[in-house]
This record gives sequence, structure tokens and C-alpha cells, in this order.
Amino acid sequence: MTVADQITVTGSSKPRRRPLSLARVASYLQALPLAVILGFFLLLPILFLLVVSFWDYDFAGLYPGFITLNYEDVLGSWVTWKTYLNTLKFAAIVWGITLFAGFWIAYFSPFTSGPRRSRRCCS
Amino acid sequence: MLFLICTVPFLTSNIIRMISWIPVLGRNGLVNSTLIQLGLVPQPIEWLLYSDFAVVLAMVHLYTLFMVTPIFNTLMRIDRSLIEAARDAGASPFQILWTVILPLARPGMAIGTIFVVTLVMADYSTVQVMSGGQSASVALMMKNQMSLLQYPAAAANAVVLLALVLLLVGAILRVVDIRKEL
Repeated sequence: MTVADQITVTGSSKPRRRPLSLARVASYLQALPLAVILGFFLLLPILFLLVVSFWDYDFAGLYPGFITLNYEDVLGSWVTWKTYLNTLKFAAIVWGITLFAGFWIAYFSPFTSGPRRSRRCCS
Repeated sequence: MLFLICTVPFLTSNIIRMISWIPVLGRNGLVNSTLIQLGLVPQPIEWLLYSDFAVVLAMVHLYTLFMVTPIFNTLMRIDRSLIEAARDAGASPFQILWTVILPLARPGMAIGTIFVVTLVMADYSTVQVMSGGQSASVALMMKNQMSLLQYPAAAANAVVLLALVLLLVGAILRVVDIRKEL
């Protein structure tokens, strides 16, 4: 791309430069729908989450502001740490079992290279 | 056929499948009544339902297919001639499995791991239903905070959880380079 840029710059011919920029815009246009969807449904909520996490609150409502009390509450209580440990424990156990079971189910599925299939192909 | 059996439960919703474990595991459920009628245990086993065991069982039931499918995909792409070559070179079935198939299945395992870990970390309904409120997960804690209208606390919790899960996924991707091996 840099070579092409240099050529167009040294050539400095406008009609030659136009199709290049249009192609560049076209590729951005092709990426636009996914970018818009991801931005609206993924990045924007996460942004809101980040903003709201710094707000103040009581039993009645939310008060926009910038305090780190929420994070101090979350990270400072042993209940949170125990809960995180519990969740990680579940994740580790479930991961181990599903990995073991999942591999063998996939291995003995009729479409994959299980022992039965490969034996049939060679005999 | 095995794959079809694995997909059939996905025709019903997550929660329904979870709740259907309750009559199986309950104090007067299928498992306990069968064991008592066979005379194997004198009284019902208490830890079958509303315990960590039940949570893990339901999660394994719900999430195994997320692990099966990526591994299945990578296994399907393995060149048969590699296995034949290994066998011709005198490898035992275990050696073929350990040195040929397992390394080639690593990207699928990594993708499945990412699926399962993120799903388990974000799960609250399974934990709530199957543990009967006796066990906690981070998402359940967030849900409780939200039902108490403590949105900022839940949001802060969510940010911490997001960072943790991103770290986990980053670690998995560091161990197995999916793009290079796929």
C-alpha cells in the first residue's frame, strides 16, 4: 500500500488516484455493518457499564458522579473473593469434565477419524 | 448418531433442561427411589440435589456440546494419511492418539475451553436452580445486586468479572495459538 501511495504521490495524477481511494472506502463500507452492530450491541453497553460502575447510589436512585467506592466494596469484601473462588472452582471442574467427555464424544463420532473409520479405510 | 443424540436436548430451553434434573435427583426422585428399591442405600442420598454436585452435573450437561463441536471440527480436518503414516511407521493406537491426534485437536480444545469457561463464569440460573441458593457465583451475586437496585455495584462487579474473563481468554490464546494452528 505504501508503494502504491508513493506512486500516486509522485505521479500526482488525480484521475489515477480516485479509484484507489474509492476502493479503500469500499472496504471500509464492507466492514461498516459489522462494526455498527458490534459497536451498538457490544461496545456501547460495555461503555455504559463502565460509566455506571463509577456512579453513586442509595436505596432510592442512582447519582451520576465519579467515585471508586463501588470497586472498593467489590474488591474489599471477602464475600466477593469467596464467590469468585467458587465460580472459578466450578469453571475448573466443568472444564475438566467437558474437555474429557467432549474429546471422546468427538473422537468416536462417526464422521471423524475415530479408530473404526480409519481401520476400514486401510484394510 | 452420537452427534445427533448430543443435539436433541438443544431443542428445549436451558432452564427446562435444568429443571428436569430436579425430579431425577430429588429426595424422592428417580435415582434415590431406584437405589432404595435395590436396597443399596438405607435412606435417600441428600447431596444429589441442591449441592455443588448438582450444579456441576447440570453445567456439564448443558455445556458439553460447546466443547464437542469445535473438537469435532478440528478432528474432521485431520488428514487421514497422517494417521495411516503413523500406523505404517509402527505407532501403537495410543501413540497415534497422543502424538498425532491430540496435538492437531488443540485449537478445537482451546475454542471449546473459551466457550465453556466464559459460559460457566457468566452462569447464574444453573447455580441458582441446582444449588437451591446454597452456592454462589459471581453472576448470581450481580443478579442479586440488580434486584436490590444496586446497579452501580453490579456494574463494578461486572467490570471486574469482564477483566478476569478477558485475562483467562488471553491466557488460553497465549497457550494455544488458534490462528496459527487452525
